[in-house]
Amino acid sequence: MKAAELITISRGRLAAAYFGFASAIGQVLLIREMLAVFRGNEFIIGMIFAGWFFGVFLGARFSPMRQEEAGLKSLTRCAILFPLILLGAVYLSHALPVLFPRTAGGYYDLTTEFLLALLLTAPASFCVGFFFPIAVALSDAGDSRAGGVIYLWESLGSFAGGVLFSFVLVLFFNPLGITLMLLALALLLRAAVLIPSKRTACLPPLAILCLIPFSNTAEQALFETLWARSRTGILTEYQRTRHQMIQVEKTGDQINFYGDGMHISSLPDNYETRGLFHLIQALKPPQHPRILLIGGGPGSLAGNLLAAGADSVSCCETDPDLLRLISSFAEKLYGRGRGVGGCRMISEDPRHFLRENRERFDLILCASPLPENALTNRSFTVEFFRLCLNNLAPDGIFLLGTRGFETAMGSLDREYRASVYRSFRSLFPSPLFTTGDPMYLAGKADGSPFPAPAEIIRKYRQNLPSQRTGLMSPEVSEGFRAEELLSFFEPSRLDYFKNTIEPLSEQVPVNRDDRPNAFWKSLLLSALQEGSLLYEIFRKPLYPLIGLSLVSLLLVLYLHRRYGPMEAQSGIVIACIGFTGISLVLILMTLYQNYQGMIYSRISLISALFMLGLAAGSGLALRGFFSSVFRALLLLLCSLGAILIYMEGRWEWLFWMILVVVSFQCGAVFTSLYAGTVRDDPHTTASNLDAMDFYGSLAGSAGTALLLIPAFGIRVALGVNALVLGIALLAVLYSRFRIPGRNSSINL
Amino acid sequence: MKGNRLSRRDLLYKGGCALGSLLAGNLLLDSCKDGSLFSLSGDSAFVKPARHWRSAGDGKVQCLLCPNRCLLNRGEKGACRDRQNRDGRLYTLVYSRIAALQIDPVEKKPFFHFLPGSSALSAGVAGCNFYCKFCQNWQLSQFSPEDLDAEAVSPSDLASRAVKRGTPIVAFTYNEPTVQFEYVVDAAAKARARGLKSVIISNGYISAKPGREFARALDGIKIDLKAFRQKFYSDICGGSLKEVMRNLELVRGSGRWLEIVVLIIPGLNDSPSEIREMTRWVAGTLSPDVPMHFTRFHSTYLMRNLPPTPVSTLERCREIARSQGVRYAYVGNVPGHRWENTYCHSCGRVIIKRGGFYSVQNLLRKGRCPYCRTVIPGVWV
Repeated sequence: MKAAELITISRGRLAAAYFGFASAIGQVLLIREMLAVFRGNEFIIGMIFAGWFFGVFLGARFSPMRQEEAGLKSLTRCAILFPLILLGAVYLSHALPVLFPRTAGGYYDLTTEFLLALLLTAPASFCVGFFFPIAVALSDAGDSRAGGVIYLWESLGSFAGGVLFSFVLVLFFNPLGITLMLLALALLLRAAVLIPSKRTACLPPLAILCLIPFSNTAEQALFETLWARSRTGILTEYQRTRHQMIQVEKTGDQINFYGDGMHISSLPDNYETRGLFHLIQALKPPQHPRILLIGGGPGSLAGNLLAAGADSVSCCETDPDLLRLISSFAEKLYGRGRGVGGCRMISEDPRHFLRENRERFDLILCASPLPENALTNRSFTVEFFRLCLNNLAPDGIFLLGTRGFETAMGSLDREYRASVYRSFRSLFPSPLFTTGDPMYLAGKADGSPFPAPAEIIRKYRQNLPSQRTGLMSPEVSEGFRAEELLSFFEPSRLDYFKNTIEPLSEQVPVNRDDRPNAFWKSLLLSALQEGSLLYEIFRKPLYPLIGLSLVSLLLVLYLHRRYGPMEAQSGIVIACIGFTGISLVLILMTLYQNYQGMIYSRISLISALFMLGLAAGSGLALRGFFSSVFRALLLLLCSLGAILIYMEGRWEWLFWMILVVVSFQCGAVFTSLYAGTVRDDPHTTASNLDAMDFYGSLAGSAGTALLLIPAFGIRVALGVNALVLGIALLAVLYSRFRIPGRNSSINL
Repeated sequence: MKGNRLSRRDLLYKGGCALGSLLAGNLLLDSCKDGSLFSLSGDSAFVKPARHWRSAGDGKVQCLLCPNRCLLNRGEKGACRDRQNRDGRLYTLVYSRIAALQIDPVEKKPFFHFLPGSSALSAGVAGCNFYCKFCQNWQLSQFSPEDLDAEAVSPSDLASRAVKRGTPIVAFTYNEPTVQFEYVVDAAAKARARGLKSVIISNGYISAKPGREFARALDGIKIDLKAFRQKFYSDICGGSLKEVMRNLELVRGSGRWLEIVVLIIPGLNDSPSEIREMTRWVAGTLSPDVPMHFTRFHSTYLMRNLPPTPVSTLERCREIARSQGVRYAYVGNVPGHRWENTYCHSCGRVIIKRGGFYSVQNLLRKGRCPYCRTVIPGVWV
């Protein structure tokens, strides 16, 4: 091989590494930033993934054939454009509420969010898809390995990007700084490798790097302006933590806390506390209870409970930065003397804490956000209720706050409540429910029933004088009469709940971690509220699945007609692998979140490990190991079984193992398929395979996050994956027997 | 034999047709199951000839009940979803079609000067002539009647139920009562005949003529004045401020008891200048005796991501109202707040103590302040 050819090949590889590196960072960056603008949930992550994969699919599909020099120029342009587009997408997403105004306090409807996610992510990811066939064509040395090699280099770059982002970039730089770095890197790559030029060409990247120190100031000014124009208060502070973006807003003398743009709590909250405080006092078992508060952070309630004689009050919140921030404001407002400073702060995922904790509480109050996503649904499942029950003292009480119901409920609202109610009642057989907003479900650890509301109020009236201590907030204690508790027990509303929800709860499924029925109903309710088109689609979840199957069939037929049976067979297999790869990752992430705790801080690590698996798989397949596609598919099927085992055992090591095994097989399959398919046109084969791979990923991410998990649950999602792998296996078997002239060096 | 074999094109075409037919058939069956395709719009038991409309030729009718003045072709429903053109005549679809029926304290409506401490049998139906993005009862107001479970409660039955349950008031609430105009007028007459009082909780968006009929039939009217800017009405509610102001004047002029509620939403209708203009108009044009409630917003429906209104903002609104001459200005949805109490406008002492909706201590004596004997405006017996 000539020296010039070798140089061209190494250029293609370096470009692949850069694109892998930049796309891994870009993808996580976009997810994190867009979550802060759209409602931050897995549903939206699914949409963002889908938009991203759609862009890659288009890029790979429409990447034009280029000669060597033109190819290098295209790669260079693409490399420089990527960070610029990324930069635009990140800050455009923040500017959306100004560019496309929405009602203050409202969200875009789900359909609009889906389209916006597509618009913002697809241009950047288009570059990622666009480069691949060109880089393969540049690296082709006529030995059918080029596709695998580029895939390997891209995966290695992604791994490096994921690790760097997780452990360095996210801690020290904002998106502006990170994209400037990527831009500088792209310019350096151009000057030093892709189109070598004079040394002075290194000056622009250096100049760009000099701008990074100013990125924080620039971003802050931008965010303050955008917030002022799209919200009702003034942004006083924001920070990106490992879990979310926290924003602090001031309206009048009220401080509002937001996580990823969603309102979490406000201070002062004395008046909100008044009713709940007295309800707890009326229900609490012993004189000096140990109390655990989950969700919302420490506010007036915690301080007043301590002031009223609670032995201890612990506040559990996952994000330590959020907890610290709310605590500092609460202490300023209520002072340490009133007791907020006396609270025990637990910065831990509540479910993780409940699983590991050995202390028993007399009262656990959970005031988590509504189950509008899989994450918040974790606080409304039977598994969570069991954890709470296990952490209660023998005569302890569990109090669950949820959205209050009004005078009439539609069928979705009824079903969502009935599902939660059924789950609750399965562990607390004689629950007490209240009226008002929020409403509460209360259960005793010993399963005994509560007295009738009138009796609760009568007893509390007798005990009331002893509750009043000088340390309590006047807004909570002054002028309180036991009759106020009637707002929790409005007779005609209690009857309404009893007559509608109790009978229905016998018919609806229990809300479980792996079958989030309440989340699904809540999601549909949101779509209905917003008049979203997606409501009509999701109401009958089988239709979109059928539609997806039809589109897939048409794509395969197109490949078959245009490029022949071999490309079509490979297209089927790689699309199935793309589907299963991302689908299993999403399933694993959901399970990890359920069993091990919040996933957000681990996303980039998971992404990096997945990329490492891909790199290892493709690297070994290039050397002839693990190159059997048939065996890889069987191993992926076995991974489904391993996931079922993980669902039973919940061992964290198994999660990481399955993740690496799945990604390893996916990496190996791509390399083997490319080698088995390519003949004399590496560009076309790379384009087809990459496009079908990302089409599969698009279908897998959208189908799994938007439909399979919420509507049917984890087990059905695994079943669908088994079916998809079965189709891939059939395609492999068919190609073994039917397609003549297949490259014999690859063992299909 | 070759001639009998299906070509690939034929296979695709026929396969596609078969699949399409299957899907279409399935969709059709689903539609039938939903009742959206062949069923009549609304159960005939609840369908009655409507009032306040005119024929607009060609089988069209124009509803004149509210300022929306919907022009409806045959089969079409109005913006409220409750009135339909059937064969060139307008019908109401919600006569006695009660979707929500509960007993609430009258303070919850809120009426603070209308039999304080009493309870009201409260009824609502589906539909509304507004589409407020902050509607608490959106599952009623933004649905069609046939979407919701309902029970038939005739006007006399409603009055009987109120008597049986010992509630001195019948309230038409939860959704906009205007959309069930015919029922409200009939039910209020039956209630009056049984010695009960009738009130509505309304957005005040009704045409003049039916508005006057409402005022004659009812004893108390609470109107939500959503804001004092037309932009708010257009963008957030879909109505006209001018019409609501006209109707407020009409109700006040009719001599029926009137209270006004303003839901204060942070950043949208809480500017001091807007509140000043509003309260000046209320005190000047209506009366200083019309109670005004500045209530706290909590996120709901399409405005689920707003913080609650700061209590200090509500206190400021109340201060402004007082400074503009409104004698009875309240802070609402803040249980335990001192300005939920009623203070005598003359001596300034507490005459009705409130703690939420259920703890009401009425110190009035025959509608007068127990301390200075000043007559307090309201309906007390």
